Amino acid sequence: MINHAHWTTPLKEWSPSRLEPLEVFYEFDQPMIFTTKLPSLGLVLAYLVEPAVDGELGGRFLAVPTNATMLADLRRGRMSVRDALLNSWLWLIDMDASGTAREAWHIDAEKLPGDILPEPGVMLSAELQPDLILRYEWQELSADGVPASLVAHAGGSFPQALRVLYRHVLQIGGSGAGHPANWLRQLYNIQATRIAFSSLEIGFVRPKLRQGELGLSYSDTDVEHGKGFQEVQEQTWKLLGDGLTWLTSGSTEPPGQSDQERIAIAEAVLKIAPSVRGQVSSVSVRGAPGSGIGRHVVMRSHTQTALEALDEVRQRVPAEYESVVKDGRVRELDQDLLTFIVRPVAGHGTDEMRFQIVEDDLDSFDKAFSAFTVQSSRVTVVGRRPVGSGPQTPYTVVEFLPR
Amino acid sequence: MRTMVGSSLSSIEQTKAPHLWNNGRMACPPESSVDPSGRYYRWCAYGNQDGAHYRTFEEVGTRRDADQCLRRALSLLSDVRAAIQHIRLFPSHGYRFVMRIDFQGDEGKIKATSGRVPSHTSWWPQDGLGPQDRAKLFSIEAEVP
Repeated sequence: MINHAHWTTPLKEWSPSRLEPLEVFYEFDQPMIFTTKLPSLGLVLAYLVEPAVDGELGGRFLAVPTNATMLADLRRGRMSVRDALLNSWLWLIDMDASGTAREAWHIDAEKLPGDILPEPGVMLSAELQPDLILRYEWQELSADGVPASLVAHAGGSFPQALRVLYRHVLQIGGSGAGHPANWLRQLYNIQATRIAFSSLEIGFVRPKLRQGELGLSYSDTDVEHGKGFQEVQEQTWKLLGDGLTWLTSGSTEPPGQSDQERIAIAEAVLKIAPSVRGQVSSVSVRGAPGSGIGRHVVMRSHTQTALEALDEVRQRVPAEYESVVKDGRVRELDQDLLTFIVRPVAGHGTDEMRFQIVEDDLDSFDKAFSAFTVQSSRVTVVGRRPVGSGPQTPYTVVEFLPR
Repeated sequence: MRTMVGSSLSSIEQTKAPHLWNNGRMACPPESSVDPSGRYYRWCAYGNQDGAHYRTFEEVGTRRDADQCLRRALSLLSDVRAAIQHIRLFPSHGYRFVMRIDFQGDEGKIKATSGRVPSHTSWWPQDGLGPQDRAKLFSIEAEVP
């Protein structure tokens, strides 16, 4: 039995009353999570924290004030049950087998044992559960909120990791610049269903698409090796899970059946990993059962080891890309091809050089790009393209910097 | 035919003994219930085959005011994800193991009784298949850390 003496105080004004469920959210042999109205507390969300002996009805419930917004968030999987319970002050209520709430206590939330609450990130039902949850820990935890830059990074890192792996699994060559095919974007640009800011946590769900819904280009021509959508998705997520297992194991050789695959896996999981010197100290990755991801806590030390391992693999394979750094001015962006030309500043050579932006990076480049083209300022552009590309092949933009 | 440890299921089948109980006005298990097949899940604390965890409310002697037919059934889930979800949703209840049962068709009757958990299924064990026998039909599917 839960010993609650040190984190509760009796509610003196309490008088026994019926705990009549109004809306039942979770039921297994009895309502276990439900709303009810209590005379002195109003509308509350009740959560069965300790069932009665031998499965008798009733038990001990946590109760928290609730409202329509919170309930809608619970139903849609935007809020975990734990977050709902920690949303406001809490009471502990004992309900007997007849459905009468006999006793109630105030709870000192600061002393509430964390292990009596639902696990973090757990939704009302498995259907609402994200396929993958990323949880970030950073050094300077502030009660005021989460650094905006971290939110942007966290939201983008996982789709970027998937993009690397999907391109490998589907054997899509080239630099990835320009507009990606819609079906490819549908695969990796997955939905974030929930963002919690108590410590930054983002839940993602896999697209629930059947092959026919991806469009003709996918099923008829683009994937000539005949892989179905489901197979591609399973393989990609498995590679991600293998990569995360490797990343947190500290072993040196990335998993994979070829060096190209090892590089793809290592590059993908490093998108998710905390940078060696950044503000994030660790990233927890939690995959849903059956997702092939598992549970991992990626620390900075893992990142360092993985970077060294990736470098070793890259040393073994011929260079895939050639890089360039170009100074000059940019006038305009070709919106159709997402290309632009860097022209030399007077007195600094005559060579022009064409670059192309990866569409998914367009948002991050767009403001800087607009500012530089309007002012015709000098910029430095770092780019790369596959080795052996023809002279007309544009370089893919890696960095776009003011001079 | 599979041998049921400690049960008299074989003799039941030979004699075609009915496992319909009369619940006042309605048959129990319900006429809409079916022979069980496929894989189902339940959870327990220790992952062992202790029959105490496989007793119906009627056998325990609780829920006397509940539906008398459901008191004779055990709750199962057909979706392993939902079983894992339950353990994570209620960690203070002390369950750590998802147990699975692969029905062969002769263990009684089942019926989908989904309420707020869509894969919820009620299992009315065959006559003579006691709690300890039921426990031996389950094996560990997963340990939820």
